[in-house]
Amino acid sequence: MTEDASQRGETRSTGSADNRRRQFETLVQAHSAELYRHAYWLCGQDALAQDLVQETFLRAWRSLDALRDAAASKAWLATILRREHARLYERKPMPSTDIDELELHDEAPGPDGRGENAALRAAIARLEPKYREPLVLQVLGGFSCAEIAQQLEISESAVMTQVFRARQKLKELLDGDGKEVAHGLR
Amino acid sequence: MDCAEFQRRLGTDPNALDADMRAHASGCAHCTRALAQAQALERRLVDALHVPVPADLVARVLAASRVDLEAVPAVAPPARIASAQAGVRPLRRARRRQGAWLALAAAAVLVVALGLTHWRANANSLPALAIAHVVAPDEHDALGLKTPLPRADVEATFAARGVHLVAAPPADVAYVAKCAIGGTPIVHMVMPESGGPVSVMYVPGARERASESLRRDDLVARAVPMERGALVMVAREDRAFGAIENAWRNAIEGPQGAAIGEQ
Repeated sequence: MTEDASQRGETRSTGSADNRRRQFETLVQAHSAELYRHAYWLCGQDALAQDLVQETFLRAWRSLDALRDAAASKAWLATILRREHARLYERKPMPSTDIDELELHDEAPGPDGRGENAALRAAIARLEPKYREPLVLQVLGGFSCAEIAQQLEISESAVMTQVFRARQKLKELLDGDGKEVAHGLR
Repeated sequence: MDCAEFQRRLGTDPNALDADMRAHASGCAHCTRALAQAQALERRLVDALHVPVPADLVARVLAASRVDLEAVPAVAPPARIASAQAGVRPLRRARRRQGAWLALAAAAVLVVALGLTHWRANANSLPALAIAHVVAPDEHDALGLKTPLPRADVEATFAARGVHLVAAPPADVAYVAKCAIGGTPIVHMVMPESGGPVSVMYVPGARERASESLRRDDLVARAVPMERGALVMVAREDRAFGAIENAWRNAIEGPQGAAIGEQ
């Protein structure tokens, strides 16, 4: 290879790495907020949600070449996030103290129970994960039932049933005694 | 469409109204009310789910990722092997050469796989995760703190992580917080030492087989196994690590390695 050809090859390589890095940073810019909210409703903790987002993006970086369709990046990242969250439970069960201290208290600082949404947030937190997660994916992520079914690896009809029941349960929790709306994700 | 079907589809997705649903609602006062209520709840639901995002999240993710990103080479597209070989080689020679290439390729794959495995293990090691946590922008302020915290604050933070200290913690803890690294809850502290601040993290439940050190970003990190967790220390120099490890081993496990009061 001539020196010129070698230099051209090096430039292409550097350019490719730069493009890859830019693509990654664009993903971080575009999807961090939504991923954080998704993570927050998965785990109920601000710091843990931030770490999950970080882990998600690290894994995304390593597999960036697998992302062929930029339009699919949201679903792709959501899937990585769910796996990262599941991995937490594979490593070790979450300590019960963490469940008790989830940052969903009405008076607690942080991105949670303050303001007029406090009761609804507490009610969402009380939903069983099998109801909460598809609801979050639908309302927050804007995914269709078919897309959610694909992500959660369940049938579309099961997703439809779960989001229906999630809304029913939220109404019951909001209409019922306020004491019923306890703190902490279920 | 009847009312039951309308309600079922409304509850599944109040924002997905098709012509059939609109037609039914226009002629049914009960379902019109239900539609209005469902859409009102949906608006509240959207607001409630949109919890505030930490202002520095993007910067934090990018900063913390940088440690990792620099360790990962961009994956080059697979090189195309030029196959044009002029002339026809004898079959045995061709096969022997093909075998040699295959062996070479297999060896290369093995080397790359072992390298990646090693890198991944390294990138996810406690020292690497601890350094990534310490260099995050929102952790910088903690490193400047010097005033010792009350012992009760330190004990309470450990207790919140399910760990009861069996002896007094070191007196010079200037920062203590419940944090997480790699998705694992930890107690994060800063101890101002003469050679500079040392970030100390206790990781309950961590299973480290042996001490592990890592030097990165002008920082050195050391993770040491403890009876029911691991202690990770990060600083510009490791001079104080031994004394800090002993002090925390004493506080967590007791002077003689007594039973820990972990829950």
